[in-house]
Amino acid sequence: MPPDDLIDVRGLKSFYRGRQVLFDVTFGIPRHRVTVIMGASGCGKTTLLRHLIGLKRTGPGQILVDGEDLGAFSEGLLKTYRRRIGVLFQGGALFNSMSLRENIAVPLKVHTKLADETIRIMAVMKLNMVGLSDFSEFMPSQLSGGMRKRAGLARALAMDPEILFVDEPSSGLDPITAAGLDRLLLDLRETLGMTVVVVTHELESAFKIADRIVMIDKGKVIVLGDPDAVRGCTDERVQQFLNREADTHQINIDSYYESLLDKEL
Amino acid sequence: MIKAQITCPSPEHAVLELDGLFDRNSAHKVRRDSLKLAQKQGSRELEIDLTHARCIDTSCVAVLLEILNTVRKQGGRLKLTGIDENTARMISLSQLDEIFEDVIVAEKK
Amino acid sequence: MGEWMVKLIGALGAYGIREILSVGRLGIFFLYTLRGIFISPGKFWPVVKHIEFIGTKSFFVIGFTAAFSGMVLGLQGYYTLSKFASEGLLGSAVALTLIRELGPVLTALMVSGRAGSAITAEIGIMRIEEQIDALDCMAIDPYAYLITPRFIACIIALPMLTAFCDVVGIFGGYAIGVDLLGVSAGAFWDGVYSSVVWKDVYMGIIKSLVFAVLIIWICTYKGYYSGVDEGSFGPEQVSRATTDAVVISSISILVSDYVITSIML
Repeated sequence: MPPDDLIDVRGLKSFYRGRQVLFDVTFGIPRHRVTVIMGASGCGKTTLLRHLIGLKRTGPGQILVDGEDLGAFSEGLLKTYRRRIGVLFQGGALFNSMSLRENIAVPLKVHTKLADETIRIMAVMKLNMVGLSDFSEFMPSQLSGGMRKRAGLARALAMDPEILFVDEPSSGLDPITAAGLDRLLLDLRETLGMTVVVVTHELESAFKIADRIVMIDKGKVIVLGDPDAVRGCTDERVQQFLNREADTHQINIDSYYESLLDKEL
Repeated sequence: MIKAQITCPSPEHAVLELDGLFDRNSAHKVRRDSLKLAQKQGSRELEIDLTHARCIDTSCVAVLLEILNTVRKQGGRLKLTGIDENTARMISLSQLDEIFEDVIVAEKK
Repeated sequence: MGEWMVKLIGALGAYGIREILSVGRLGIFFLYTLRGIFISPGKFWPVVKHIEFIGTKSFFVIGFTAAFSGMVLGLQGYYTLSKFASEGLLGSAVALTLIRELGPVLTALMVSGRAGSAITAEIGIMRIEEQIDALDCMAIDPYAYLITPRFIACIIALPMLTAFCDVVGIFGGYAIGVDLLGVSAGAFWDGVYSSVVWKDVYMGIIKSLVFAVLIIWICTYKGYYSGVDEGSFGPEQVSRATTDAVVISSISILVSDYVITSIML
């Protein structure tokens, strides 16, 4: 293991309802860097993210955090790990019954002894980082999907996490806001030395922010490296993805026919 | 943890010297001590010396902002000395440079 | 034919295993909720808030139900008792029926319909929108944060609502029996005072406590696990969970009412 890898995924296999989703996934997440996990929809990247944040227990394979196996963590250790991370879920996962400011205050209220006023200031500061300080008293239902997502990011930042996991940050955002979000992720890396893990299928933003790219296709890592290495990769699937080419051949033609024709015949 | 020491070089001027880790676990203590001192100082000058303090998260920026608010409301003057680079960067990430501009004094570092 | 049998046995077996697993999960759910009492965050204000939701906001609907049930008891009781020329017993008939049976049962049914369904839907939505996962990732115990305060609130609110229901119902019976049908007020109250003993009240309280636990246990459990078994998290799962929660809790209220009565009489 290179000494600067904070998280090391080794031979991770994952199953969902009897179907294998991840096949021997192996890669490292470097400390204080932005790692982008890229791939088409349904390639298993969200499943991988759920493994990384300890929501899905690792089966065969390991995820090492600072050299310790995440799968073997006790409940207490898992809680300690989770206090070091911030997670932005795909839909933002804001609590509907609270205003944005109260949403961001939740982890601070539970985990710290800070005064209410300090927490209020911190919440507004985080909202300002994602450009939503004018909306601090709004309820999530009053906002657009993109705004909810940004508010979710503000909540993920509430505890100044050491590692930030972001699922599809720029989906549903206009290009200007998306660029602003990319800028913010880079600023967080620079200023707070955050380790950032981004799951996305957006090429442009991925290449702009990534220090390391992990490309996944059908549950397998097909290329791993810095942006230049990925661009230079000659693998057919990688190039297809980079050049935004549609699938030309039906891969599962047999099962397609099978589902159309009565099997009993 | 963090230690706070109060000195008064002149009757018009009080210094709160912080020593230790200034993070979200100790921020409430700093807040309590400094707000108490700020109230006592009223319209006189309050200096917070952060030379020996290490700020590692944004809670310290929030607390400093609160102190600044209190001091300004009483018509006093706040001086922050010995702010390290990291804290300064956090202040600018929070887009608070302008507010803290004439408060931060770089002399000590 | 043979294939049919195998499929049938397989399906039965799968059903059995699923049910047994879910019973085990129900028990574990309860234990985690109990443990939640001792885990931060603080419970006081959340409990107050939920008492307001479960209790205060049910006052009107329960008052209404109780008044009309009491009135109908007065009416029916009067005509039955008048056949034996013992209208004077109307007070004790109304009071005993309400305190021992109708009060706890009606209150519990109304609360499960009004507050229980809302709780299931609310927690179910939190599940499908990944808000519960978000709590986990913030190192906040979802049981301690979501379930335990609702448990405590329901256990406090239901006996009080039951007492309210009893009182309103007795006055409803009084209004019909005394004001409308001409039973003497003295005979009515004398019947109430002389026939209701501590054991009746005690039985009513025990019942409402048991019902409270059943309602909140079933409703929070159904919400918490909406869509988990199906593996898909959509609005349909929440609506099914809500229906299930109300049906199952109503049935368990009636069944347990019989059981408690047969034990305590």
